[in-house]
Amino acid sequence: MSSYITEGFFKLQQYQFQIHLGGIIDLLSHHLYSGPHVFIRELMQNGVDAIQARKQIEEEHQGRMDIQVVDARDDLPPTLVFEDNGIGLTEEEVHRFLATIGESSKRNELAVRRGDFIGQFGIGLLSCFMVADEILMITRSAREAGHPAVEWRGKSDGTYEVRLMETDVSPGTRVYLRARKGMEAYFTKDQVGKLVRHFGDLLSTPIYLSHGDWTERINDRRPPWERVYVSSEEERRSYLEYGNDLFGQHFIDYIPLRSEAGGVVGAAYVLSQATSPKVKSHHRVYLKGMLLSDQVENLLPDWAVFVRCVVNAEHLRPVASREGFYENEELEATRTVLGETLRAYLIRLAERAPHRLQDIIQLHHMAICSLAAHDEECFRVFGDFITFETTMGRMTLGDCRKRYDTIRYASSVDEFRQIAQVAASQNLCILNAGYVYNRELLSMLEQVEPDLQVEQVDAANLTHHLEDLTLEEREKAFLLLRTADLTLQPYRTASDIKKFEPTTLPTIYTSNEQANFARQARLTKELADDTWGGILNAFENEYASSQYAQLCFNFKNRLIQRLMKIQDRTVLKRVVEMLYVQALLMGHHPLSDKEMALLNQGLLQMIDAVLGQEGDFE
Amino acid sequence: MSTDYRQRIEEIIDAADGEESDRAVAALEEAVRLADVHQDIEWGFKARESLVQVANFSGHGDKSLVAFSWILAQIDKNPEYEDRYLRYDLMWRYKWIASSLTNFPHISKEQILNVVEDMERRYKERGLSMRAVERIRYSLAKEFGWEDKVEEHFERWQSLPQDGSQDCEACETDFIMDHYLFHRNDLDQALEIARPILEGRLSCIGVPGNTLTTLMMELFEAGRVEEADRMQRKSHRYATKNADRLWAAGKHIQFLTLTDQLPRAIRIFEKMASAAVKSRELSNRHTFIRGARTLFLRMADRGRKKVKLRLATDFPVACDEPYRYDVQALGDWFSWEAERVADLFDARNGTSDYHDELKEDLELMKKIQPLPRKAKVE
Ligand SMILES: Nc1ncnc2c1ncn2[C@@H]1O[C@H](COP(=O)(O)OP(=O)(O)OP(=O)(O)O)[C@@H](O)[C@H]1O
Ligand SMILES: [Mg+2]
Repeated sequence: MSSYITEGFFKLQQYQFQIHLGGIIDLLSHHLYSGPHVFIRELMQNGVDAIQARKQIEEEHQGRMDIQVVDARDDLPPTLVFEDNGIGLTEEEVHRFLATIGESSKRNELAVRRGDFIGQFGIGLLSCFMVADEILMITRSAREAGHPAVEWRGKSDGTYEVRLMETDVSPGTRVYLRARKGMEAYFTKDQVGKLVRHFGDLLSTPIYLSHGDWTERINDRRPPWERVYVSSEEERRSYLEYGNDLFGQHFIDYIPLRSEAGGVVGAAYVLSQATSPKVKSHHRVYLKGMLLSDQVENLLPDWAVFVRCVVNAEHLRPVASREGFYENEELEATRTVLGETLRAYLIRLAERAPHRLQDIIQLHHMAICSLAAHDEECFRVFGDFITFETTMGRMTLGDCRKRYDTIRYASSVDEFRQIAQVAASQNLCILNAGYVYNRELLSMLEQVEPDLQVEQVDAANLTHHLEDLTLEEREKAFLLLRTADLTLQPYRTASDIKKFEPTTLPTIYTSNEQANFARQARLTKELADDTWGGILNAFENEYASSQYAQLCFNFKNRLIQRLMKIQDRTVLKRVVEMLYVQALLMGHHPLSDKEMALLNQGLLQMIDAVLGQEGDFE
Repeated sequence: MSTDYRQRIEEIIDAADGEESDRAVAALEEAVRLADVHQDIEWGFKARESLVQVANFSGHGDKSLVAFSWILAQIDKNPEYEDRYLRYDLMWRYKWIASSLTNFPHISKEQILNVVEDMERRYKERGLSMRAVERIRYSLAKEFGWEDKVEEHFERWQSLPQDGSQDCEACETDFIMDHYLFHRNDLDQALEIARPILEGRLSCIGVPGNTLTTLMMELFEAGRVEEADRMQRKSHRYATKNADRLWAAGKHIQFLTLTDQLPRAIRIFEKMASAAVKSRELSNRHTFIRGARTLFLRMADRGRKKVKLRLATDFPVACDEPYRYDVQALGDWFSWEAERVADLFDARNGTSDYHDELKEDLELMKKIQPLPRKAKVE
């Protein structure tokens, strides 16, 4: 390729890119901005910046913005006028900044302190073309006293006109927009008022909206963190009311936020409704008083799911769409500080109002667990307050840790159920780690507290640890066990006998993951057609052959004692079947058709027996 | 926490959504049990539907399969359940299930073919394209050693219409690439086909991870080690996500061993070993076992006697002091296990492919190609 372009063959000529404004506007409106309504935000931002620029040369200057809605009249469409008493523009600046896309006065030598401004890309004004075909701007610079006012007319086809004006106007800028056909909805008093309030309610520069004879100050309410309070009740009320109004939702508490990094002030509100672990909180964030977005996600650490914030930031950098922040060091630092603040709040709460903390954790249980399970930092914050079901009742992880050197857990709900009664009667505390995230939380605990022992117990293990019978006792139980093995064979369950507490418990049914799976395959097989039935059967055989479920009789139980004296095998068989079904029911296992039939038969026989006795009396 | 079982089931389903972990599978099994105890068909459907998905993508194809067959059976009994209770397209998922069957050597050839016929029938009943079915027949021909039919299936597959019931475009592209690699032995053409994947224009759950892993080994065998290494680094995370990726993890271990990057191979091994030991997706697991076998045989070749590994206590090879394992014992166990499983598959398939692969693995060990120095920096 390069051989074609050697000098001498061709004279390289430079061309200018031709920019098709329509295409760019389309790009901005459909891919950068969230909708046409943002033109109001962009105009307000420019006004705020202009006032800020003027303050840099006239410290005492009192800024002010006026927005006027003029209704449609005759065949003139409705019009908006945006006015500010900011820095204005000279003729030369008009050519340079207004007429060149991507040029901005806020990014070069003119911008003494660039961080003072919101604008930086030099494209904001273009957003007006989403709603109007023409932008008319009348501006007079405050920099050079003698400079005349300038009129600039920019059209959406990319052409513009500039004219010097003779009339005398005070320094500042006015922008006129006439609604394009179909866009009138953005030019009504209500809609404009709503949007101006939405974007600018935190601005300290006063904004006035007028319509005919009517004028109103839009942003006269200051946020709670800028007010002074005489009592803490008053402060609390003020914060909560503000949050309620802003988000249209009720909160249970608030946490004032302040961070040097990012220049952030604001408040975090504690949500009163449960949050899902998958949904991040959406925060409302202002940049230099202008609303950036009410959907910001990256302002707080991931674990802070239980709050929703409203903050104003002075130094964070917006992305071009102006709807979020750049992920940079400053943002990272801000997040750390805000995270610390929230954590300090929780720790204080744990000391002063532990029940309130419990409430919060209960409410956001799933979300908090999911985060604490994967995030060490979050675990350190919440870990101790997370509750587990244990064989000794519900307990927080903190309590377990204080009381026991070894934390024992069962790894499935099923296993926990099998163990619970026996463990409790031996004063053994075992945690149910069968619910989602529980086991991850325990591994996190292990990681955070290396000195602590964390140990899994399974049901089969537990029965191993139960007391064995003497040889003579075993002999007594021989017939029972033999009959039980034969009876339970079709159910892939083996039998055993041990001594354990509570003595009221005749049996424990234990199984494990494999045996459970085999059981599930068997239950499904009852429904399935031949094609699938064969496959399910193969699975059942494969998994059940190595791992049987087990029915363990309690030698200390009176019923079992009586059972061991019975010699009649048919009676034994029937009782074993009943004990088996009963153990399944106690363990909340779904019954197969065959097991259901056993249950029915057994009950009927029992009723029969009872009636038989009755009959004898007559 | 809730006392109502429906709420509990719903919580579990929500929490498990997108989790793809062993815990999520265990929790969903509990949800299934809850629904069944209460004989609640509706929630039985919902819990199983999630279980099918989560189990399939976390290396528990057996559980996915049982749950799926329950759903099929219920729908056969009462067809209107399908619209009423299912959130996702059942036939779309049939592909996952049908293609996972070969993973289990105790399922016979005949049983597998019957299922594919069942799938075909149901696809026909619904007027769906046979493309997805043909795709599975292709895999079966490969698995059962019907090499002469492979090209035929491929061509038929290509000619069948795409109506949305087939695999996603990324997976199909990956499949075409595989065909060029393993049937037409044309690496350059395969790379060309994979280009949209490698350039990031096509992706899904399995792609590009799968694609990169496959190409890694093929490039290695073609002597293009540095390119292979780039593929490895790009798919490293993919290969260690969960038990579903044991196949990829095994390939990575093998590759890293063959390029003399043992510490990196060990790291992957440690991360995935406990999942591998427990996994019941035997062919998926088998690739891991093969990788580990290569790793420990290689270490033994280099005269290493002991190795420190952070493994869970349920690992089937005992350690002599905590975390210290005998290299020879590890090599033995993985070799033995690899042979045992290869027997199962070769017996079922009536081929010797699985054993041939084990021999090829040993051959490859004679062709260690360390990375050129500069490429080694992490
Ligand atoms: N109300 C105003 N007063 C003074 N100058 C203005 C005003 N509005 C716009 N300008 C000038 O026009 C330039 C372009 O405005 P525009 O909104 O397109 O870009 P910007 O504000 O610099 O950056 P951004 O694209 O981030 O908004 C500004 O840099 C500024 O010099
Ligand atoms: Mg601007």
